[in-house]
Amino acid sequence: MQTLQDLKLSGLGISNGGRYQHVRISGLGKVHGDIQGETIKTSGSASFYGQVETKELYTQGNAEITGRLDAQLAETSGLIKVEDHASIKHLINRGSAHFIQGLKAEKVISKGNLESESEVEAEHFQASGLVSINGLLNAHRIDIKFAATSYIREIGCDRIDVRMSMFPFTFLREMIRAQFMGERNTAANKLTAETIEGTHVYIEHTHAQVVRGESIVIGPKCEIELVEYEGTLDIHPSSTVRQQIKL
Amino acid sequence: MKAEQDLISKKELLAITGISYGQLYRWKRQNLIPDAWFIKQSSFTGQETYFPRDKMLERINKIIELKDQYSLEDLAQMLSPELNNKTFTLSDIEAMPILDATVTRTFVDYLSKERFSFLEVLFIHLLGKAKAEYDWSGEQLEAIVMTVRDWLPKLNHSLYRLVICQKGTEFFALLVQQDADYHLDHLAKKLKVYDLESCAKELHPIGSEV
Repeated sequence: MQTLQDLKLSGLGISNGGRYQHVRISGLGKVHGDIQGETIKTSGSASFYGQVETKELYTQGNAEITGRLDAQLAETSGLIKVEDHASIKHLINRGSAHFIQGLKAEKVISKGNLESESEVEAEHFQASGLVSINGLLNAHRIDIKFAATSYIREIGCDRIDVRMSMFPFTFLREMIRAQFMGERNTAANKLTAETIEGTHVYIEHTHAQVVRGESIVIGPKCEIELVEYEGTLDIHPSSTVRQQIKL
Repeated sequence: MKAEQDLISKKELLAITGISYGQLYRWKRQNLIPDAWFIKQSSFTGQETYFPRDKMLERINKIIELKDQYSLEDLAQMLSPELNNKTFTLSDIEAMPILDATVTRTFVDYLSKERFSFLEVLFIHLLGKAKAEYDWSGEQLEAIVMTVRDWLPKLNHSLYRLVICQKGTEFFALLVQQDADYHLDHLAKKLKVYDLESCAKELHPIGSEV
């Protein structure tokens, strides 16, 4: 078998895609056509007008993919936008990642902004930072910490844990933010959802129309219209649940 | 032709079958339950999800019955093969006695591929059945294979019916969603309707048992 060549674009570079061993794009790079590579690394501004298939994708700066993205591992920082469906086994997002046609993953770790215009599927979804999903988030396990003002239209899972408590470091961070950015409202962190369905549910600072599950704990500062539960329900005194039904 | 579907709410489904939200959503992720079965209807709390009652209950019972014998991946392959990425090589296809050799060859020529998705194999099977029934000439077969080639990129499930029609001496094919209405020109005659979902079961030996 023929060994594959590397592709290096630096400065102002244009490629027609193809199959490569390692792909490195720095500066302003454009790939017209589908591309495959064992690893693809980009920094600066990289545009892929086609599909991207790789074992490992590392992006820094600005990356844009108009076709599908298929990766075993993706580590993104800076801005990345995927216009077609993304299938990423293991996603680590430290910047701002935007998926237009949804995302299918095994594990998602997001420490920046994660946005999706449609369904997100994962076995383990772990986010600290902003999450905005205009569709269903379907995961076995969901951990959301310190969500800024997140919105997830629908949540379906085995176990969800939403925590906004601000101790100890996050408290400090909030103090600093309040000091320097003139933000007085340190309790602005909140998750808004239409429905949350899970076998085990623990939520804080969450606004939802409906929460359904087997064992549900409504932690502090929640506003829920309707809770339907099969087993147990605990409600923190600082939260409001307008209607609760035991099934 | 559209039958009023009998629906079941998610809440009722969970109560009847005893499965948890975690299981339901996992099976959805694993493609054991087609997305098309999740039907949204508005209710006083916003939106509620409903399912086609009989199909959904049958499917859930099958999954419960088989989940200890097979892995979820195997089950997905059996229950909704069109959603999985498994591909078939030319020799895999040639080894399938159920497929018509002429149709297979025409297909391979027109699609010029080496690996075939389940949906493509399903169409080889369907056209083989239709060819046997109507004794299509090589030209007629080529025409329909070209049609199918144009359809394929737009399809991602098998919840369709293939309707073979005849107008005068001409054959033509129609692909409609499983519960969608269609009306024909009065000179055209519907010859046969193939349901893709049930034909898919004929292709999968274990799938047809369950």
